[in-house]
Amino acid sequence: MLKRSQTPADPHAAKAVRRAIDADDDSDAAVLARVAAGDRVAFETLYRRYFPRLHRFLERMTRRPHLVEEALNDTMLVVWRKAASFTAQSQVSTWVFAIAYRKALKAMQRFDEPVADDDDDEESAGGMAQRQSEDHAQSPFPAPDAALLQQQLRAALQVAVARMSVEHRAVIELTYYHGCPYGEIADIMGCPVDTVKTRMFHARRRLRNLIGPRREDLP
Amino acid sequence: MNGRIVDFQKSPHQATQELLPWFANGTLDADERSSLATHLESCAECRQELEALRRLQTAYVAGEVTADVESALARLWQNMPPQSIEPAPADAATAEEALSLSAAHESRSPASRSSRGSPSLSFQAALEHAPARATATSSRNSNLPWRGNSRRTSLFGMALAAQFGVIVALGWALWTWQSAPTRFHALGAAQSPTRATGDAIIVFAPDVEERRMRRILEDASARIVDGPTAANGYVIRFDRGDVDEAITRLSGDPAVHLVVRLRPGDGS
Repeated sequence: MLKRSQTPADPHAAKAVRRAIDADDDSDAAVLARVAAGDRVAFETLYRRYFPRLHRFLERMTRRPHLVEEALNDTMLVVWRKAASFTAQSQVSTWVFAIAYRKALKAMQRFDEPVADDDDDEESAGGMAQRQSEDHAQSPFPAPDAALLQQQLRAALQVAVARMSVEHRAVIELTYYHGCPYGEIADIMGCPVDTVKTRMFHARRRLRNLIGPRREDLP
Repeated sequence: MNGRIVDFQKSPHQATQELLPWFANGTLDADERSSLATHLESCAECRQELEALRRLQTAYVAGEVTADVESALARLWQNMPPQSIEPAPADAATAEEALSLSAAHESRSPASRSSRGSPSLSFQAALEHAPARATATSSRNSNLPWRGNSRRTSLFGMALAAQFGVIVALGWALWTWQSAPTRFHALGAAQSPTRATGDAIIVFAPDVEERRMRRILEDASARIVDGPTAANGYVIRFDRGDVDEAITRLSGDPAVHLVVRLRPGDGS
């Protein structure tokens, strides 16, 4: 993996990049280097590699399934076009997700949805999710208690996260699902690390309020 | 070690609370991890919060992407505009993505600020530094379908232009066909373009019945080919025999009021 401290003046860095465009190297950086040289096969490799993560991320960001593929392909189109301008200062995944985040924000501009969080809290998402689960519990094939509990909590989480702002959803998704360090999240969202920490703090508080008493039952 | 340390301008409890999500996902560096571990040993509230975060993370990651990657990829190629890869900008900061990413890096940490001012290393620059490898890569990719895209685009444009030409030609042919004078003429039209030609005009007496008129014409081997005219006459043609003789015979019939021989050009 390429390090952020590399510069053209650094012979080790140039050597690392030359090594990266070796066809036998299967790292993201090596594949992206081949994409920069116009290798369509390498691009398809990168596409398939990132598709599940990008799909999930964009689905959580936009919450509109019909927008996901469009935003995903827009993201990968930028990757194809701008692969040569990728800076070795960041990881490939950070660069790709930064593009995807901006595409998600752009897609959301079509809708009147706030990017930043607000404090409206009309109804507990936990309550909504519980009603949904109660509806499900009337099924003639009731699930075991543990599975039902987990299902209720997942439903509560899904509803709660959906009611959060795009920025809060992004820090939650990138931290909990994609396992990103806060520094990478700052790179992806284009903001200082302190802003990421603050957003996460408020996102957790909001999640706590939305889930309500169900939070203690999380498996 | 990357120089990141827990900010103890905040209380250890506050700093721990802030970093707990990344302690839970295992991405803190050694210093941060050590500092938080120390605090966690003595803080039941933070331990409880950490457990809750881990349960939340477990519940949150559930679910898998079921979308079809191959069909999405096929649609990407279908919608790919005919445009080659953009070269790396002379200054990476002018590229949209590079700009925001670099800005984020510079504002992120003292460690990243230390590299401010140094030009970023792009793959394009690396290729320029390694011409032999670049040439080999270019040669290798020359057989790829994508590399012939500009030529395919040109052929596609020519085919499109040819299709357009055919459409215009068909449209012109249709227009000229529709605007040509029609040769069709209704039987009841007042003016026939080619008036029927006959040998004579016959005017029957006003009180002659139709059956009598028909018998006279049959006996003369004549048939009506036009009329009645304004003077109530009919143009007749003789199928056989001498015309003058037939006219003479007809003129002697009391049911015939008038018979006049037509000369060539009289009926046109």
